[in-house]
Amino acid sequence: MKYYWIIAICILFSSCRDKMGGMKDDTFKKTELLSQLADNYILPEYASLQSHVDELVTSWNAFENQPSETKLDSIRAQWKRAYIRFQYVKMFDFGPGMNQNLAMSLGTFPTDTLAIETNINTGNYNLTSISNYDAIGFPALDYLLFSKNAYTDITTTLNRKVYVRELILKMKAEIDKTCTEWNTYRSAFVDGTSNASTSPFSLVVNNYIHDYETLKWTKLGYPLGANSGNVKNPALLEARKSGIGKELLRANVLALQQIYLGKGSNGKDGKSMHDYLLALAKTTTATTIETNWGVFLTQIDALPTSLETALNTDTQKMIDLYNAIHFNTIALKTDMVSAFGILITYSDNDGD
Amino acid sequence: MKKYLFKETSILPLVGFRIIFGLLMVIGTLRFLFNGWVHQLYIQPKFYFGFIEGISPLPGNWMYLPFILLLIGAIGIVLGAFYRFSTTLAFISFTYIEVLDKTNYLNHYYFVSLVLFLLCLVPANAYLSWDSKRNTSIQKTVVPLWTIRIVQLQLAVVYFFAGVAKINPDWLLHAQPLAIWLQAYRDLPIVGDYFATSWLAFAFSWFGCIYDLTIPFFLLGNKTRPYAYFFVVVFHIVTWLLFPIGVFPWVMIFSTLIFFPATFHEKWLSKVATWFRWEKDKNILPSHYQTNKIITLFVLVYVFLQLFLPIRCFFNHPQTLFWHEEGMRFSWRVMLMHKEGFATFYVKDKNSKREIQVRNEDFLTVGQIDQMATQPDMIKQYADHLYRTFNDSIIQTSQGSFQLKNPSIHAEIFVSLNGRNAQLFLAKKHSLQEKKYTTNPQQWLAKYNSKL
Repeated sequence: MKYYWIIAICILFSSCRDKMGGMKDDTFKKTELLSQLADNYILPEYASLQSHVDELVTSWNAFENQPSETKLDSIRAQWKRAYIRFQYVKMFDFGPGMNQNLAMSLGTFPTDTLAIETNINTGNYNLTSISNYDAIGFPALDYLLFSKNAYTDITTTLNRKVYVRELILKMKAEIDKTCTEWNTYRSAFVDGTSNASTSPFSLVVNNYIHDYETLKWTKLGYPLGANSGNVKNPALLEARKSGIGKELLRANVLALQQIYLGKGSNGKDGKSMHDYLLALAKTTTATTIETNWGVFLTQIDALPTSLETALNTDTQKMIDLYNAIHFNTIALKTDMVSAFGILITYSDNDGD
Repeated sequence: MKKYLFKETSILPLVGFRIIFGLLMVIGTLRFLFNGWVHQLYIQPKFYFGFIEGISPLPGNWMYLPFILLLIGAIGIVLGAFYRFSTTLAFISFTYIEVLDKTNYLNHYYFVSLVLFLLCLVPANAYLSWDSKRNTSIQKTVVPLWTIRIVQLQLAVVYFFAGVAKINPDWLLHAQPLAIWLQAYRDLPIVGDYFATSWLAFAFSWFGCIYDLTIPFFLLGNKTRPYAYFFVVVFHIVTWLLFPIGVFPWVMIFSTLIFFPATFHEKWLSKVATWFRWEKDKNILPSHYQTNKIITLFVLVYVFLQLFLPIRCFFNHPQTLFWHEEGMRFSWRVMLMHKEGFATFYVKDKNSKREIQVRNEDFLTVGQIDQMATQPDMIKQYADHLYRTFNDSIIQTSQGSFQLKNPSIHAEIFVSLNGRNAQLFLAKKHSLQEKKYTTNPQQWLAKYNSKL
């Protein structure tokens, strides 16, 4: 009699298994995902950002030795390359990146032009203070390097020249430290597969989602006036002076897509969040997200070259993009994160 | 019945429980303080999802005060010093902290509140305590049976109803949410592959359900008790290893010792007595307990409430309980759901037809957003908070400012439950500030589709 029960329960279980996990892959390992991310994406991307910033420093030194408009142009070109590269790593706001607070110190926008001018005029400032986050980094250089009379201003005002130099050197110092620390952090990182909120795997996913939502709000939502009665505000656009906002937006989306799909920056592809979803038999979620990255890129490509023009003349296209990104959050944040079973806070939890 | 409640029984299990539970409270409170959670959960937030209107956190660092008082109370409980004062202090400070924010609600915290309340009422300081050392006349070797049975019943209720709650299709037929939580351990050496399989999740689910339903009875039986306790220890250590539930596995492991007879407690308590140079009064008077109508009535009401609260949801659309969550709290529904939501709130100005999309991070902490997005009463509270914040407020824009007059608050929410893909939880059309919150499942919630 006992055995009938056991057989009955086994049949019950196996029937459920077929329905639930027909395509499940129980052998998928998160550590492979993390190794792929670290070795073929994060480390090469940081190295690439580092070399771009090094070149920015070089071009700045050349300019300081013997200023010329051409040399300023070359600084601008280097700044642009580095800023775009930064879009590929800003979502790793944990571990070494967090130690340097890289995401904030390099990427806070809109920059506070008033604070920058005050800093320059008084010559009395502490660039590491929290209150100066919106007076430093790439966005501050957007203002300083691309203002109307940038060349004259920088070459004639010593304080201004010093300020630009200090901003560039601060960026270099922080990136150098981050790169060095990542080399040692790497081994802890690839083993950090638990779903506790402080484990590297959770940090990757939570910061990834956070970057996605930050992109939605700061690059599109705020300028569109999403939180201010839909009154547009071009002053909130990223890199407004240089007008490279669209390229930055595109780079950010490309980076998130690349990370999601496990595409290496060195050409070596590997295990990814997408694969993990497939291993969990969450095929619909996986393909929805995969498809949407392509949709966003097409939508971005359809925008005018300058986001400011887009905001003023092609507002609807920009709103459509904003909404598309907004609704994809359901698949990304709700479906994907819950399928992974990741916790978002580190206090006690009894799952009720 | 009356006679049964007042039957004399050894005080030792109760004294043992007092010391153990007090120590766990001390450890738990210190852990909370050292983890920086007071600041994170009770100082940093700009808004709190209070249980009771009018009860809000103390300003700034004053929030450390209830924790300090709790610590003092807990130490008093361990020592059995100023016992009524200490237990009352601990009960009031702990319960005050817990009613401040629904975000931090845990069934185990509710359990602690209940036990502290019960400790206020029973004479657990009549033996091996500071009070009884100072004033030997209060010493007793026996207590009425209800004082021990009521704590045992409380523990039995926790287990049994946690088991009843597990009898649902998600838990038994889909092994959810355990399947989600266990697969996260797929990288463990050697055993990782098993954690990723469905059958291990099924085994855990069924074992957990049967364990919860039966363990109180096995703990009550003299012959089965040692085996039952072995399972208690194994079960809770496994949950402690796998899930972030803090000190509570240890609370359960040590609290269930109250099921053991006086002979068991005598062994370790006599050692404690020597350490603290506590001596039993030689002239200790034999106590005789009269039956007492008020106590009998109290015990009956308490038992009724403890049996009723966990089943109240069965009168209220129980098949979609996890969706509407009406009757979810105070019911020992532990580890039953993996719920994730994405909530977007909108403030609409009727006059100007303008709409403001709210960035939740501007008002709530990450933890609060996470909890609020899936719980209807918190959604309503947040909507009311947004109404109060935005009504009559002036919104600055790049093209001048506009004032919001009597705006309406809307939310569009998608929720994923136990591994299902997200579905609509709350449609944008409802003006939430006009909705009433009732104990019936809210009509404004979207219908739930349970298909996996």
